[in-house]
Amino acid sequence: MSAVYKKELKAYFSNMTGYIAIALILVMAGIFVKILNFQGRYPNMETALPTVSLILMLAVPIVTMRSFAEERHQKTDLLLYTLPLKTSQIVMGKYLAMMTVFAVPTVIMMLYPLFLSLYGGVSLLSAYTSLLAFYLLCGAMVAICMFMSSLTESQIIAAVLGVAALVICYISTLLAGALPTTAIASYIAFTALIALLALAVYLFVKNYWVAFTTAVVLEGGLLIAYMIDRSLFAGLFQRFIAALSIFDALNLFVSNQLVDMTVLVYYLSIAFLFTFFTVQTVEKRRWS
Amino acid sequence: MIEVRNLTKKYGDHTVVNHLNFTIEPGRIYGFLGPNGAGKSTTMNMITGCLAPTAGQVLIDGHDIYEDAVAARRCIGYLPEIPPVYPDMTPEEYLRFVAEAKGIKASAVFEEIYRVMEETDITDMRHRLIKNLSKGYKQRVGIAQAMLGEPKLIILDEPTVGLDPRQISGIRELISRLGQSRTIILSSHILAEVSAVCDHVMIINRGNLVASDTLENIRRDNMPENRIAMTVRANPDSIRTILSDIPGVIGYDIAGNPEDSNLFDIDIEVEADREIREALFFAFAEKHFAVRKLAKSELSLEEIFFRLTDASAVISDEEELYSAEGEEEEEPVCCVPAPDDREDGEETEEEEKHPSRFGRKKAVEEEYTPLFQAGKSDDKEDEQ
Repeated sequence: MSAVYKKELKAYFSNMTGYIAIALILVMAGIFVKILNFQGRYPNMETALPTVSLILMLAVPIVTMRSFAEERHQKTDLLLYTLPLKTSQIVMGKYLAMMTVFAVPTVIMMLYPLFLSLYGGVSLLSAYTSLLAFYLLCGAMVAICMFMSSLTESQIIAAVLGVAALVICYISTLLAGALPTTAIASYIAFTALIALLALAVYLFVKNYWVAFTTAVVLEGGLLIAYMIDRSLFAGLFQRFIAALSIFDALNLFVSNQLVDMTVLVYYLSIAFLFTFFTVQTVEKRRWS
Repeated sequence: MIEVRNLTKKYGDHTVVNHLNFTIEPGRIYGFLGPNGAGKSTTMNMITGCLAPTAGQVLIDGHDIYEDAVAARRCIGYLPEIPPVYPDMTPEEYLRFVAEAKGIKASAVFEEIYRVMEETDITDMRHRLIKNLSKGYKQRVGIAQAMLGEPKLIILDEPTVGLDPRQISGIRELISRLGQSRTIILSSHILAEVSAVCDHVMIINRGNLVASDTLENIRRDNMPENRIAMTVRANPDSIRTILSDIPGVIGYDIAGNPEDSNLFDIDIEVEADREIREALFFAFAEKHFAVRKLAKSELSLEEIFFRLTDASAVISDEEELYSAEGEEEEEPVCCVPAPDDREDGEETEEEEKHPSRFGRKKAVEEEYTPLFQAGKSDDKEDEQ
């Protein structure tokens, strides 16, 4: 794993991508910390983080796009397949290298609360836990976009898929908010979601029956729940989407000024889930 | 070393590799021969674990390539068809990465990298970016990568494609040298390459193994009948008289030699397993007729190859091969220059653009004939 990690890390800093991502994040952080904290005389730098996290929609795909798409494009994936390494080691090596790139701006941002504390009382605990949440948000996004890169051979498509996935994450709460909050609307929205899920299952396993069974089982469960307690469904879809939104979670974490473990665990779960999906996709290519 | 059992690969209804069964013994050089599209690369990818078979099993030194993948892969060094190199790395960085990934001890990595760089003659290029190297050097970096860690088995998929004649002979020497201590599987569509370096040849066509034996045995088994080719300075009547007195002669054809009107070429059919060459020599010598040539007529490996791989399949595949490789004209595919040194540039250009218009015959000639004739005449000298 360390060989893959070293090779990847070197690659990010031997071309522009690593520097561009770091610069983007630091420029955003610099601007907003200056506006909020130095001009607005507000002691908590973490209030800038939800805004800074918007630039991740661009910075993360820039870094992740090459991870697997490039290997496939250059046909170097055959080398990785024949090295005495497990697929999970290869994926983890690459993931950790990307996370090291994002550790650079995070570590630099860790200096900001110290500078601010020169001018008055600053809650270092909430600042650093917020930075941890920010870093874990990077981790979740990197995993999502790495998965996108493992789906394609083209870096450009990988980047577009990555940006699209993150933008959907961002606007999902807005979109869900536009839907009526009636029970039947929630029911229909969930049904649509199940249909999408079944489609994704079909695209992965290329088997009608597995996809169909998944859809039927989920839809059956949904229907039974709807029959039993219709009132539960009112506004449920909005709450469901809001709970899934990775950007809202950071907002929540920062505004509560509490160490909200659910947010941290949520980010870690997303990172784990998409890393697992990536391992499966890379492994699957061998079988197709 | 390798046991391949019932290996099959299907894409939908299309069977690319069809129930292959073979065993690879240690310490020999195996040649995997077949027209393009025969399933060579697919088979190699399955043996090395890059591609999962639809059915069947591959055991490397007792380890199943899927069940016990890491242990099995430790035994293999693989050079795929396209060398898997990272263009933004230098050969040294690249080899260091592969060495570390192969789990070579940190203290031994440096020495090991230099050993393979020396063996493949890329030490001078170690600080250049791989993207700036020529195709030949990239290929050698790929071979160096496969040699790292001294794997017991080295698999090379068309290792000399795109190299110049000097590099090809260098790579062949390297392969022969490596073959003394290791098992090597080499795939190629170039017959001369296989006949030059391999102990054992496997011919694959449309996913089926059509022959697997030593070159001599393949030649012998595919020899249709016992025939002798002679060129003598004598008149046809005397030739008939002499031949009618020699036991074992079934029939013969006499034809005038195109080079000299006093010479005659004779094609003699002999009873199976009967050796009459010395009798023929003395019979003609006794009458003071000069014997200019006397040899067993043999099918060339090329002819055997065509016979085994079914002419019709070869035609379409060969055309595909030629049009695909025609674009890389600056780097010759074979080690001997094309037979006719055409100076008419326009005509050549036209041919490169539309290879199919000029038919398969020419493509095959350029690919195979010049290569093979060298080997063929050598054989004949031996016979004499």
